[in-house]
Amino acid sequence: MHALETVDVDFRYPNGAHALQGVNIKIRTSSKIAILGPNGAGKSTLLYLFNATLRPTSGTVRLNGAPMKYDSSSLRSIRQKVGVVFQNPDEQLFAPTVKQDVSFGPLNLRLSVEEVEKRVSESLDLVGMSGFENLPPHNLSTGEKKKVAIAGVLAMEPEIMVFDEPLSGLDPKGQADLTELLDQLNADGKTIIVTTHRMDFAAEWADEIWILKNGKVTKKGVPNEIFSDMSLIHGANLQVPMPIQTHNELYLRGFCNKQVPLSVLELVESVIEYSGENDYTGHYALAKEDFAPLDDCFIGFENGVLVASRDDFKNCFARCRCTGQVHKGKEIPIDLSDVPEGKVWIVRTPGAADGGAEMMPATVVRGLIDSRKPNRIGAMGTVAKSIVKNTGLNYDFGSEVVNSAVSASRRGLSTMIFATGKMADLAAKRIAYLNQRMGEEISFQMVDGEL
Amino acid sequence: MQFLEQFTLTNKLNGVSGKLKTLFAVLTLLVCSFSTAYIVPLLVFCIMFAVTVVVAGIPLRFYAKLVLAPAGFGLVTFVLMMFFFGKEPFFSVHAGNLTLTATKDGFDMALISVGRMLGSVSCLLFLALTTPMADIFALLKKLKLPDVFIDLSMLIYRYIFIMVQEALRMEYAQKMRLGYSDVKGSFRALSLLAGNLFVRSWDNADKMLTAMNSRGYEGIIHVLEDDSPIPRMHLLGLAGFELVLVSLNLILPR
Repeated sequence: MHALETVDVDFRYPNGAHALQGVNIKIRTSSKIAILGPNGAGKSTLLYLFNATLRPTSGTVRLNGAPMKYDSSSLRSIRQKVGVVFQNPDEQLFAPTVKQDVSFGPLNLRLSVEEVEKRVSESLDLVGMSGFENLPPHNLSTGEKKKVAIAGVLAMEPEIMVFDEPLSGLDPKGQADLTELLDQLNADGKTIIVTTHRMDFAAEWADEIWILKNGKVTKKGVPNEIFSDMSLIHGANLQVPMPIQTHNELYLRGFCNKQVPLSVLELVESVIEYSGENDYTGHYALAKEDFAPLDDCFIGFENGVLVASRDDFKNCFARCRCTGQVHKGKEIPIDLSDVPEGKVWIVRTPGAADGGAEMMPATVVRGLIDSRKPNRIGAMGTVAKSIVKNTGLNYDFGSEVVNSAVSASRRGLSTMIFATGKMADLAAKRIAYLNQRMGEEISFQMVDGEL
Repeated sequence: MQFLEQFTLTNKLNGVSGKLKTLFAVLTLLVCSFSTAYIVPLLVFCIMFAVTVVVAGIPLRFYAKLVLAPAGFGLVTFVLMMFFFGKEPFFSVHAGNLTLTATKDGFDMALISVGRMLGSVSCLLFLALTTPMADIFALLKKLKLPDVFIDLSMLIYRYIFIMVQEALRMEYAQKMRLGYSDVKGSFRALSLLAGNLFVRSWDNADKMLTAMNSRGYEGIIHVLEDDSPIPRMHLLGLAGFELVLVSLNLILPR
């Protein structure tokens, strides 16, 4: 089923600029789509066509299979189904307070005041902006404005959400939060379409990439297909993501296998796998305690010195087994070829719609953590994050959670991931996918958090 | 950039109904400007000052700065009126061979005019420093003012801040390239800034309309209003207060 489809779409602006020329795009329902292309390629024009803000000069746009109509009642239904978040939130926010701005869309859908109130608080909750209801927009930072702009569109409960340059102007933490939010929306079944110039984001996030140049589609495909075609990428004024560039250089020098990595994790795996035996001999760490053979030892840097400890500690990055008798203060040989398996547990937490963080008391979370003793804790989604924080603990992984957990597991550390609602399935799917890509078998287990 | 508006979000009267605060300010302003006894406006000033500075916790220094400008004008007006209006002689000032005679009726007129002015200023300052715009819009809507009027005010309010920021950014950009280094250059830079600001506003308005359309805008802005009613006791208290002020006018000498 295709959520959106353009058939031979042409678009000319009144000044004669031929922005789109015979564009044929098909977007599967519930997929994550990135549209890439140089400035002026027609990306924004295309987005405006998706929610009937612009009308094609010729050709048709199909929504859920039916050609779009442009009378006022059809327009209302199209705009409810397809939400657009603009690049500059100042263009979108107009009301005196955050709450009033978010209520604008749902009130235009002629919903009851109670329903609107409910949607406003739910969508502000989802983007993590509850508590800001009565502030005027000019009191917010760019990142906060962006979240409010997203909430304003979310409150209309669209099936398809279109984002023009969602990451622009955000700090790294803001970008990570936003990426997570996009995943969360997608996990709830929404089709997500973004335009972006951030290649690393597109490579890791998207299910499918479309490249637009001079108003025409020049290529579409899954990320590794797209990014293995260097000349295509450069031809579209784009850049190859850093892991892929590094991979390319290493591959040409014979240090890794051929498969194009989409993330740093995949790149590292590709190198390790190719080098065959993990030759870590010759590495030594300072023993902080006495060690007997086969003892667990946790390795990490402390004040610039590589140390080994019997207990997990903050900067520890790997766990392995001690090979012989070592006394405190002596150097311990590290053999990372015999790393015990690090488990991954995925705990499904309630979502905002199920009542939020209050539905999972701190004692339950503590119980889960104490019974399984993970080395690291990850949290995906706003609700899961506050659930973990309610216990007084802090999560170690708040962004790129699954990648970090898999990477930790390869180094012998186990992780418990708290994930909101459908994000849990998403995490499981992602681990299965990484296992398949890397030819590894990271074992993971779903734990029911709704006790 | 610090706006007066900042205080509306942080003052200690934040929990009080915005509609009540608006009514309080506007009614007192009306009573004050029609007062005939000079004591009433001065009383209004003292009460408003106390409510704004002591109760709402607006810093005294900041408040004083805001009052100082109108008070300066008031002083000049006072002197002018006392000496140049009226007929009945009051007292005289001798400066060298120049004699200025103040008049009794001029003095009375000056007292009541300047009193009214200060009282009204204090009412407006109370409103501006303690009441968020959104609450004022809510009251206007309740009073059934035309939608077009309220929609326009809402957009203007929001866009003041965007335009100020835009103008500031442009000014910085000009200053960085020595835009205001001499008088002629200043005029040139200012005219460029103003022209550019107009074009950008036009452009922004266009983009905003697109964004609003994409959220289903059909000509009238619908947003959730705070429609919590003003507590009856508060309303009664307000009515009592205004009545006292009005009756003071009737009792006290003119």
